[in-house]
Amino acid sequence: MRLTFGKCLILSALVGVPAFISWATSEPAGTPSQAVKNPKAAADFTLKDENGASVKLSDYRGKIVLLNFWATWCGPCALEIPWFMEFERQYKNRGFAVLGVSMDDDGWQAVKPYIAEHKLNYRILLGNDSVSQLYGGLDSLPTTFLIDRNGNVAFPPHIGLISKNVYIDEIQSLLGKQSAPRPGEHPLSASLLLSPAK
Amino acid sequence: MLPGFHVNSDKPRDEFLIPLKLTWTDGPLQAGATAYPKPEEIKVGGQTLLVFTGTFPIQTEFKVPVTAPAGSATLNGKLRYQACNNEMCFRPATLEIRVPVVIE
Repeated sequence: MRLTFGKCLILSALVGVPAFISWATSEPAGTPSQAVKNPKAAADFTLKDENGASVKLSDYRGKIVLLNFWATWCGPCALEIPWFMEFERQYKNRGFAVLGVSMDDDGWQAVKPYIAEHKLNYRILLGNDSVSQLYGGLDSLPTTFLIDRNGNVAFPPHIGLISKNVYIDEIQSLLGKQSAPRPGEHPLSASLLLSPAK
Repeated sequence: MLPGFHVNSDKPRDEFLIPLKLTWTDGPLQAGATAYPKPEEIKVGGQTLLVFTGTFPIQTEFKVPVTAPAGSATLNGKLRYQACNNEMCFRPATLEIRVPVVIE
């Protein structure tokens, strides 16, 4: 009994990983982006954090949110994570929060050890396909959205690794803005409450 | 692979990275060990990665059992991969592989 190519067949599989669709990032890396002219509300979702608590994006209304979709297997994501930890430390007391949404197929089994090993200081949620669809499919990671205090996506999404300074510029521009007063809320009283003690 | 892209090698250094893995389902032939080429070392943001780029061979040796029936057959396999460039990564994917052979 034999194969057409002999008793033993050495099979060389030339790996033709499907051609990747040519890709255009939202802007060249390092280029400051312009704020969205007519910002739209960030799609709301509910996901679990590592403690099993349900977290709604809309719970963060009133805060500036850096919403980062990432995965433990994503090298460029790993480069950004120390920046996000720094942002969380630096701006947390000014109404800013980082939310990381992991897109790991292996779930918490993969993500919890990563959180522990890298000592992440911001909240991590476990993503799913439904949330992925809400945010454009997330075919590539990292993908990051800056959400203003009113819950709107303030800048075009950052697809792929960008300069840290772009994030800093965007966060600081949002920190400098006051949120639109909520119904029944007087903007003056809010600003007095936020004034530093003299 | 398109220029600028890479897949992790079969043995990436970082435990969190997803290795390239070719597996074969049971069929008329006995699949032996799979051999991957020597990976390239590239640096991404200060981290050294072991990757494959461009066109590269993966080899599996098959043996024909004496009980294998003569005639046409198909070898079915799966290639699990995860690709990136220096700025972004694509989600892990699995490529179905079908190789027609004739056992005489």
